[in-house]
Amino acid sequence: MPGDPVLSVQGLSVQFRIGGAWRAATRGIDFDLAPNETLALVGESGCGKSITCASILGLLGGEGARVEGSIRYRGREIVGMPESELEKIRGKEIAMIFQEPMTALNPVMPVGEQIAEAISVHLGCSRAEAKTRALGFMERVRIPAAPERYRDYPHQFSGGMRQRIVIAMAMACQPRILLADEPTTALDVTIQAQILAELRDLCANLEMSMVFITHSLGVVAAIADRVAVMYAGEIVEIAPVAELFAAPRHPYTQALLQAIPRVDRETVTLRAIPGQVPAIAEFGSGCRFAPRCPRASEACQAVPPELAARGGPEGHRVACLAPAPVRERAS
Amino acid sequence: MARYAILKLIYSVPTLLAVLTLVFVLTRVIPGDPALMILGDQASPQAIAALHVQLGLDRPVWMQYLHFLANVAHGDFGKSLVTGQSVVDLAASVLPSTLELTIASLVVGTVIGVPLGAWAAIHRNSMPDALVRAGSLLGLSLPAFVFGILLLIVFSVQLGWFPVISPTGRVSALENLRALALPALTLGILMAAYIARVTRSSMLQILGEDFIRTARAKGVPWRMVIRRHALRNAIIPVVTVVGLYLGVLIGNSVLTEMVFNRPGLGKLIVGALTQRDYPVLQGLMVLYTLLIIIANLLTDLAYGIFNPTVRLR
Repeated sequence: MPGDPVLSVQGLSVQFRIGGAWRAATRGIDFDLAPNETLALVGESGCGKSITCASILGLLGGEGARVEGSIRYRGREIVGMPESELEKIRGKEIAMIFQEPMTALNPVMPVGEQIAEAISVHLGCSRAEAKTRALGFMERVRIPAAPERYRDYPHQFSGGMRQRIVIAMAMACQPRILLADEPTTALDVTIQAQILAELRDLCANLEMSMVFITHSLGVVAAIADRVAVMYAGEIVEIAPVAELFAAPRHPYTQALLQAIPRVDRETVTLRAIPGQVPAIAEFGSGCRFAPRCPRASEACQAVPPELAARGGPEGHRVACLAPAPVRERAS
Repeated sequence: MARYAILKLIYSVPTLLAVLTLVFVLTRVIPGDPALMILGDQASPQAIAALHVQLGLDRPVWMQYLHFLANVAHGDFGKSLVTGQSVVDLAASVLPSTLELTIASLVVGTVIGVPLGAWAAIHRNSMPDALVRAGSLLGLSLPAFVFGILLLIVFSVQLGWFPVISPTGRVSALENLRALALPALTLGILMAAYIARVTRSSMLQILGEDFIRTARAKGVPWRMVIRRHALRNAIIPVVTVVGLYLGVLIGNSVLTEMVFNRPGLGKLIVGALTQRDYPVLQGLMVLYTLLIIIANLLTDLAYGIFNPTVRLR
């Protein structure tokens, strides 16, 4: 990838106070985000995807949550940054889209004003100017009759339209990074495809990087350049998207891919992963997948395996002591 | 909006009729004889019987009822058995003073209660929250007459800032405001205790909503998130509660009016009750009902202003 990363996350650990003890919900998260790149974070519910995103915006913290490690946005450290500095980055440099368009908008504020608010907060322009700009973005995300709908309230829009408003709001200040936290999960499949296509176009046109959270591997294939697979608060494998689908090396990634039904192949029984994701209080000191892993050895239980190339190409890293061998690719 | 208001008023006609009937029955059920009250213990049975005929109390109850309804339809609530004044005139003479007190205490309650409640919610589980919660508990448990008398002792008797007894008749606006201050504060602070509670819990709920996170993610400064996003939503249930409380407030004015010796509906109705002044009692109860119906209507309309999702067409 060309250029320095716009975002560099290193050793990120988010801890919550549960019953008097600090428990790490995520551990040792490492990834870089290159300019114009889309990185997908994939994993089951509760694996720490959303928490990772929220910590990038500095939205965690306060009582009951603790963020350790380093998140650098173009060289500036976000962890421990004062709130007043964070406010200048949020929305302006790094913006976020949320999963639930039904609840992500303020029900008593006209949608246009909610978009314009982000603009006037960061660019300090006049009300009229902010409105013009907001209208421009409403048209850009294809909201029909935008000028007439500027003063409408969220309840007057459908779910897909609301998500477009949320996207317009995130785009309004042309941020460099967009954090998309399952933006299409709450939408039906046709709308999902439209929104994905639009996000892809917007990212390309506005030269934005994107961290895209999802639990759907189909969505990953449609939008991402690279994928990071998360399990129980850790990244277990990170690779370019084609590579990951073609030659997954971590046993969890392999199991995930085997659990997807395929329409282009003959029906085979889908394989589920035996066991359950451990609860946060039950995390062992070793590999968190070990209790469910067919290839686990005693060494796996002792120390957490590092995310490393392990014989493969440098861009494909896996956190496993017994990864699948690198497959020779005919190309 | 106008159509909605008119419809709402039409719907309240059955309510009003039910109240009229209830009021009629209640006043007949209360023990005691108005003729006896007027003439005294020493009156001869003949005099009492004569007065019964004069007041229409000798006729069958159903006839009295129909007579009562017919008169009400003409806006005639009869005359006071005690003073002979028309009930409508009597009520009209004290209504402004009660309305004045109600509105003033509503303003005091809202202005004090809403910010305190919001402040407590923002600083949940810390010092401000504990203070507001303790204060509101005190306010909720303190009867109006105790609090009113305390205020009287401190500010009127000790410090002499406000008059002990409300002046009657025509006085300057400033004088009137001075007389209104303590009664309004009495009712207002007690109401603030209630409003602060409702605001606090409403605010706590709103602060956990997704759109608050959205606003923060946009980079909106925290103070602005509170004012523009949280408070504007948190106020919606408060409007409803305040509207319902308006009825309680009108009722509570009875005690306050007694303590501060203010003329008002409350004092009038208590007087009418002790003197078995049936017509006055009936008239005032109907008036109270009307006031509460109007208060509810205003609440509905206000709710539409604050909450666009139920905005009326």
